[in-house]
Amino acid sequence: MTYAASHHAKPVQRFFTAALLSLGLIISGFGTNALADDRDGAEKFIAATGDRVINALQDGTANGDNAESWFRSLITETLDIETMGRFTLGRHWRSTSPEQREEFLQAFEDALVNVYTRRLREYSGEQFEVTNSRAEGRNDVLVTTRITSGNTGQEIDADWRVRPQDDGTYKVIDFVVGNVSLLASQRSEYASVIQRNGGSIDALIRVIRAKGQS
Amino acid sequence: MLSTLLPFRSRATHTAAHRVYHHQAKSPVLLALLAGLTLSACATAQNSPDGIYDPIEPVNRQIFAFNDVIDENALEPAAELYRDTFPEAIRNGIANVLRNLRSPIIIGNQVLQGDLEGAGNALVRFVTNTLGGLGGFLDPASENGFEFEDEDFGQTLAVWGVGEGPYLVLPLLGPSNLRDTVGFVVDSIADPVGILVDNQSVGAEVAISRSGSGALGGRAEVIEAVDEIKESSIDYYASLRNLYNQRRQSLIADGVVSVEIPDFNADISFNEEEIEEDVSELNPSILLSARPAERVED
Repeated sequence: MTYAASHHAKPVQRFFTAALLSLGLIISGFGTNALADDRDGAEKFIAATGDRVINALQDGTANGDNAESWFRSLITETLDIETMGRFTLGRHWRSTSPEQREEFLQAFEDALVNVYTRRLREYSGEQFEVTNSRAEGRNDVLVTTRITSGNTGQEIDADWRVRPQDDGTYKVIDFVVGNVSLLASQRSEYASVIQRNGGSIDALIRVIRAKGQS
Repeated sequence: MLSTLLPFRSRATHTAAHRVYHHQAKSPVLLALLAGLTLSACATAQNSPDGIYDPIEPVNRQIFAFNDVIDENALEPAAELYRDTFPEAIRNGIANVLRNLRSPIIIGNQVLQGDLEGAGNALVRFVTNTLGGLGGFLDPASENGFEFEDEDFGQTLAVWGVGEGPYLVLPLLGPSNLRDTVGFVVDSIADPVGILVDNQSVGAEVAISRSGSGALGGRAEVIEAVDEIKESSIDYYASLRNLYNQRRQSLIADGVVSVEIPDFNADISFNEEEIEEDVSELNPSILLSARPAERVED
């Protein structure tokens, strides 16, 4: 139908159509360049973060008594906790008070610190390498890494969803393994816990906290 | 040979009469399931918080707990033993053989989905790996760009536009839904390899070995992953329900299904409420609506 209409269009209309089309091309052209820059930046960010973790594990900085504080600063610097926390709370975010939000985000951060401190402590010579990246969502980049086990040589592909920040830095907002988003899975879990506790966010916060202490 | 890897053996004496009974029994079950599938299309309420239809959640949770006990006490220890006993090359070889035997069913489903390119890929894999890969023990096809793509009748039904129906946790088999359960039954009946094996005197032993070693090998590959999910979950049931759903969606789409994570910090001029309530990326009906499956190449 649009095709047929263009045949009967007046010259003025045709001019505007052409102008709009070229504008679109120019904008999308800019978009492509920005994207290429972001992909490059996001890949470098993930590679640098991987090196940072591996170096700290090898020279002992990330072990011993300082482990937790080391991982906490790593996590707050490289993950966008607020975006992740808000996403996992979904529609419940709106019905929570500012105090509850703060408390929830703190519990969310603590849980991440717990999980990663535990997981990365099991490090045994794993190799970490950026293998690919592609655009994801509106502005994000999905960076694919290959993690090779130090013991068995088994290879796992893990994707890191990276979001460019306003200040030119990058932050991770999701982990994707086997085409499955762990953040989406966590959101569904949180929703289920809230529902099973009569819609209480405080109950969710308690369950997250209790998990961290077990 | 495969049966020796198993912690259990067939006790059934496999007679012709037994086989006939077996096949007759399947059809009414199938009919009932298909009827249920049709009916479930009418019911839309009772979604789980993330949009997965789970009307019998209490029953599912009980079966889930039962399966978990079996897993912890039998399957996982057996999988660990299996992994410790056989070197990786042997385990991969066994997995390859089992995968190769699924080729006819995969080719059939690719054709039914109208994915002739995928069917060709599966056919090339089958011929290459059977003839040039020691009967499927090796996978030279993957090394030459013919990657494995898993297909089943549940995915075919999804491509045809059939909704997933209620989420189901099947005893021993684990997470599923009505559509995928029907798909599983259809695949089991229609599988040419299964029919071929069924007509041999050792049919039952081979069939059980096949599914048993498949389960064992599959479990052995995900020991750490399952431990990790279990350990970090605050609702393991809801976690697996979501993971199953996401996994199936990506298999149906033959690629990645994007999750929308809004930019909360941006000065948004559009309706915030709309975004926060948008769970479309988790709603299978969106995926299953007429839109053709999108392929995402790496």
